Amino acid sequence: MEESNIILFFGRFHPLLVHLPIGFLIFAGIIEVTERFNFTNGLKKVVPFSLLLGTLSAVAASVLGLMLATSGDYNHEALDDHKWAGIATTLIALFAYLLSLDLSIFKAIKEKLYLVVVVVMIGGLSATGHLGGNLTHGEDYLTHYMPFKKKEVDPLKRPEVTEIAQAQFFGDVVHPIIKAKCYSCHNTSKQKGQLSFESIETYMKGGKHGKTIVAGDAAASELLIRVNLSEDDKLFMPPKGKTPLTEEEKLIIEYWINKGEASYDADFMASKPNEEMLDLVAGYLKLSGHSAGGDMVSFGNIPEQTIASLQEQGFSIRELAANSYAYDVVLPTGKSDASTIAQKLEALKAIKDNILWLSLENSGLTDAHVGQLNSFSNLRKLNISKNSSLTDYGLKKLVELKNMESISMYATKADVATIEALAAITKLKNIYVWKTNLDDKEIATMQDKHKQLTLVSGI
Amino acid sequence: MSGHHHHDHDILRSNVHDFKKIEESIDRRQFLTKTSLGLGAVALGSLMGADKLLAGTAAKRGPIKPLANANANPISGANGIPGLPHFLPKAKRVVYLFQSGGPSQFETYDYKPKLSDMFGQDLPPSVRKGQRLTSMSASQSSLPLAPSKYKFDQYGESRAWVSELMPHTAKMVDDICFIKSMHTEQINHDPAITFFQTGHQLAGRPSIGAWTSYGLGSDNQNLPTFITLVSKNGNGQPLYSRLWGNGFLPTEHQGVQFRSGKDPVLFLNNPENYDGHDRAQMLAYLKQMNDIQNDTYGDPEIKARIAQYEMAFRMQTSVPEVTDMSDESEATFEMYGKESRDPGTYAANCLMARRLLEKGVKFVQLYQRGWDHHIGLPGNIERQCKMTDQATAALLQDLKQRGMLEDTLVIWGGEFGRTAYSQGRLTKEDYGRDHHPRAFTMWMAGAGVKPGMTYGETDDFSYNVVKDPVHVHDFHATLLHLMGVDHEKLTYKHQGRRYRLTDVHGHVVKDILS
Repeated sequence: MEESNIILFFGRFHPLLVHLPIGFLIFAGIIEVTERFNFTNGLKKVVPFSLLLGTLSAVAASVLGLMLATSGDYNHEALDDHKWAGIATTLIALFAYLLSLDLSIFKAIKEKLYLVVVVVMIGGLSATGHLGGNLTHGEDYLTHYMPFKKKEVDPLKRPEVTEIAQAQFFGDVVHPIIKAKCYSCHNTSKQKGQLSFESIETYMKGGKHGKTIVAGDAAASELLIRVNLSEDDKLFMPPKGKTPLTEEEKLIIEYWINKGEASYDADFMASKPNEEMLDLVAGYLKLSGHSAGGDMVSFGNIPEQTIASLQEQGFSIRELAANSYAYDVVLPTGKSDASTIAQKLEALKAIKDNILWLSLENSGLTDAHVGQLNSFSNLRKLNISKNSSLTDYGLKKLVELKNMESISMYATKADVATIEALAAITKLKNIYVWKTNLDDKEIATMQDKHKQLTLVSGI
Repeated sequence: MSGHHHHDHDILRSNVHDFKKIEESIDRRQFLTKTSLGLGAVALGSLMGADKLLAGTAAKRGPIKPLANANANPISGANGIPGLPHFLPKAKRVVYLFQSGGPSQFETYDYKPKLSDMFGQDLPPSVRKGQRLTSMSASQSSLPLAPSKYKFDQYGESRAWVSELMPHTAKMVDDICFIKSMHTEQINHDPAITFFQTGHQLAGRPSIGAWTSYGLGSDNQNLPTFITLVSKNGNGQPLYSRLWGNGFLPTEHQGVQFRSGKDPVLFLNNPENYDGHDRAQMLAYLKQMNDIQNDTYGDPEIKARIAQYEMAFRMQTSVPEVTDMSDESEATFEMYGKESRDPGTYAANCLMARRLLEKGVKFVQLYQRGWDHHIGLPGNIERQCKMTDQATAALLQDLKQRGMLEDTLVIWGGEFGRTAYSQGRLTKEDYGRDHHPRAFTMWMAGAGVKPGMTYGETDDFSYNVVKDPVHVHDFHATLLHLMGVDHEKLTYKHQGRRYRLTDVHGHVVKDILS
């Protein structure tokens, strides 16, 4: 358990309380303007009271602010600016209040000075507020979505990696992880725990506890200790509400510290990664050939409702891998009439590019329906077995499906011409031809002729 | 625990945080509030008409949906847990032909010709390396080497060695990947089977099928995801339902055992004088009441109960359909062997397995007992092979000709192997073999596994693995990998820590993946 800290406890009310002086003082300013231009009448007597409330709340906010500053979580310079601007604004507000009271001692200067003081006060207030906002939200918070802004330059930004051999362990792998998960609280302007991941220098300097990264010893590195704590632990990083590091990310950082000696310029390959780590990092950099899924191509997003509505029409739909939008679709067996099937296949076109495996076994499919499958361009595995009315006339239309690897058409009327036609699909490996019009001799002949294919028959 | 100023009954209060929450939700005030409102609603309901006794709650929860809608399940729920599969799977279904008792590798697949020259010689200590033996052979004065009584030959394009006891499987070797280098940690049946089926030697962990059901969900909402078939024509070591149990996973993931008889699932028919016309409505209502209970207590068993009631209802139609073999051809029964007509035999169960897989059952776990041949091995193993070889090969062939072997993983194997030396007296004609965990053979075929391959090697005594050892954990990791699951990522938090099928072990055997 962390000790309680009464100073910080109250200090954290500062961001809440600061809005009171902002409101009161600006309100006073607005009345001064509207009275001057006769938009309002008779409100002027409220001004001193509003300035008084503004001044008092500004004093309170300043005190709380000074308490909050003891946390040491903020950039020293930026904090200084905000602090002095705040104190100055408070004093100016007090002066404005005194002037507004029509006291005899200020009689000589009031006429000339009052308006200037109010304008300066509003200016100071805006500046202080802005500096404070920068402290809390980061300097680029306000301008982040600004149109036509100049591209920001990240000192650690690196060109895109296309091969794992080019990847620098720190710059291309470790820093992007930290940037995504830790940087929002640990940067130049918001240095929680006096830790910043802005530059290599600040990485090396570490935070309040020091030893953020101990080269060669992940177990002693505060960075890893904190992200590996139980999520319920008070010291767990990132804190509640932020996205924690994944197991893979933790492993990568651990490997960088232990085997990569926490080097800031060495290549990833210099750490002599084992295959597991190679896979992890390649996966992280989204380089193909190393991810577990292997040959996954990317598929377009399909809204959940589309899937749900197809399921309601009787299709059984499974996503082949989580978030891949690649589907295995099965139309449960059971004969339906031709127009119902035509309708269902038409509906299925909503996800035609996303279906890898499709089974329409024993569904009453006819030659007329096969053409409807032509646009299912990513199909790899198709099962149209036990549709006994399918003949060569329909089956050879499947030649359009260039990505097909396996077609099961047992118990259909496929014949020699079907095999001849489908052999043109270069990726095709297996055709299941049991109980078709092909006899054993024809199968043997076709097998001999098209060696890239395996024709599977049965007993 | 309770302060002095507290009332006496506080002493009954739990100190456990979770319990406190529950107690809070059913404490006196809550109880009175809930029951008085509840009774009020019931009273009001009765006033409005006795047939609408629970009208108040029903109205709040909307109209009763017919049960059929429970089928139209969106992507979540019955389709496993989010984030799975981790990658593109090769296997959509698994059938695991478990040969319980520990089939001898010497008389089946691991050809050891050198043993013939060493007939009756003592097992060299350099081979045994002080390994523990079971109490059944540890007291023997000698450990005489026993060569296989049966001849071996090479088959197929892959030239795989198979004994004469497996003539049918021998014809399928080009579809099979033999793993000769299996090894386990357990030397007795119970812990060894438990280890193979759950990844841990002590009972209590979820079985492989339960893990896949939990992780990947169902492909057919009308049948259980995980079904167990125990052959009736095998005897020997007993099997127990915890081998296909759910362990600490939600109950609906346990294997549903089909009985080995004419009626695989009992009580599917409606009782006399009831035609079942309003059962769906009755179950929907029951679900509503269970949901109310679940909202209050959050006990996962309530959810499991709801799921199982509904599954049982759907099984009333789906099970008779799938178990009615009348649509199978003569040729099929012939292929599986004449015993396939006798429900509950190994052969009939192999055929049943194919039918279940065809219907989208994800994991069929089949058990054949009777491989524990301590004495009289030759005669016994001959009978055992006769009982299983043809149907095993037929299942492979049947899946293959239907195009299903491409995405169905078939596994054959027992819980351990047997010793090179004879337990008890050794003659040319008769011998026995004791349990042996350090080396044995199993095979896989189908989805994503290299066909026509032999992986791993044992020494001349099939006593130690000399090349490419595969541990039980590695087998589990590989199985899950083929189903698109990273075995390190499929976890379940129980009693304060996360568990996996492979616990903290296991490596995918990449060399056997196609």
